Amino acid sequence: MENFDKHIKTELRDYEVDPPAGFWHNISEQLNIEEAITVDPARKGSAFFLLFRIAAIFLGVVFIGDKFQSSSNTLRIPTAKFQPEDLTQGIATPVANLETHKSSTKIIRAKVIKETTSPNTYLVANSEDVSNHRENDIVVPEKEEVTVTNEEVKADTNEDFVINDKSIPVYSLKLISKEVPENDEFSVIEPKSKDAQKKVIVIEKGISKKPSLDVRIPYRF
Amino acid sequence: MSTQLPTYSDQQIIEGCMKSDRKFQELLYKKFAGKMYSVCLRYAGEQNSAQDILQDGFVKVYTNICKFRSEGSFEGWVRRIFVNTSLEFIRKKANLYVAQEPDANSMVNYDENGLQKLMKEDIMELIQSLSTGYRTIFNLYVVEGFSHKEIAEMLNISEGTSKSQLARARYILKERLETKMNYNTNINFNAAEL
Repeated sequence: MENFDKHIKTELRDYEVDPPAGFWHNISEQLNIEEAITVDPARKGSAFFLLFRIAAIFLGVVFIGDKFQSSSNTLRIPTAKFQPEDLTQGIATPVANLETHKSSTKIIRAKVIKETTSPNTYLVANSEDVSNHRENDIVVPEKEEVTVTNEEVKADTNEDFVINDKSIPVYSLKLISKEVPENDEFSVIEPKSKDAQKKVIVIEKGISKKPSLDVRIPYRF
Repeated sequence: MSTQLPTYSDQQIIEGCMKSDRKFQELLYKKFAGKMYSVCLRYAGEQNSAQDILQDGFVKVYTNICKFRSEGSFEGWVRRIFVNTSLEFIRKKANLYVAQEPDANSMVNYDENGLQKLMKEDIMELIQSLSTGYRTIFNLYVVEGFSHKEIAEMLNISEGTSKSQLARARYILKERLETKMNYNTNINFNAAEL
């Protein structure tokens, strides 16, 4: 039995029969069809990644554009530093921190306590509690209020604001709302003051211009 | 198929085929077509089916050549593809187990010397004359060297079925072999008389 199997295996294992002539052309044609139908997986993958890259770039541009727009809507005025002893001398003059150009102003939020008859004018007070702030809430410097006289403020001029002029107080306001119109105005009062007064601050965009301040009381931000 | 092939190593041919280079694909075809066609003929039993299997087998080789891991011989890998393609073809087109041939336990005496005298073409013809089921199991066990367990898994049959089919295949082959040898002897005898 083993000899029988062994002999047949030996004879047939390497036995060759020539296929019909031209048979390769049949296979070649079938390969052409298969290759035309089959989508190259590498190309399929690269197309997917190309679409993915385009989508990622688009999202990145949208994200950066949104960030840029939101930052440009925030009005920032460099704050001026002042010495506490200046307060004791009656007139405090903030000192502009131009070297580092960093804001040393501590930002707090102001709370609307009363809406005035003017649609864009709000009465606000300093407060750390910001639980009920509105869309047009503003932030004002904390503990850096100084008292100056009306003579020191020369408003309603369109001259470039010279920040080196130490006689001009510079304060910072940070507007939370992104859509505060230019030349809008709001009123603030000091609740702790004995003679609580209000003042009106007009918003101007662009720090190169001197801010228009209409100070009605000897208190300002 | 022993045509003058350019001197390319198997590895070069494989790498060329991986790039779907027709030149290397044709070289691979010329190298293995003869052997693989004989495999197809042994399993299919007739030429038309064998040619279908041959074409499908080569297309499978070309499309799956990147999966070859060089763990065994390349020819063995190619042969395995053709055997599997043949089995798929048989499953689709033929009924594997139809005939109940004579009892395998009955012994048939045959002359081993006569077997030696048989040509390869004669053996091939004898195997092709077997029914599909016997032919398949005989090829898988005797020629390809698979075990009964492997054959049972490949054909989804029991090991016992595989053994009994092989025994019957052997019986039929030996019987036909003896007939053929007698026929050849008579031809030779008559030729000598003339």
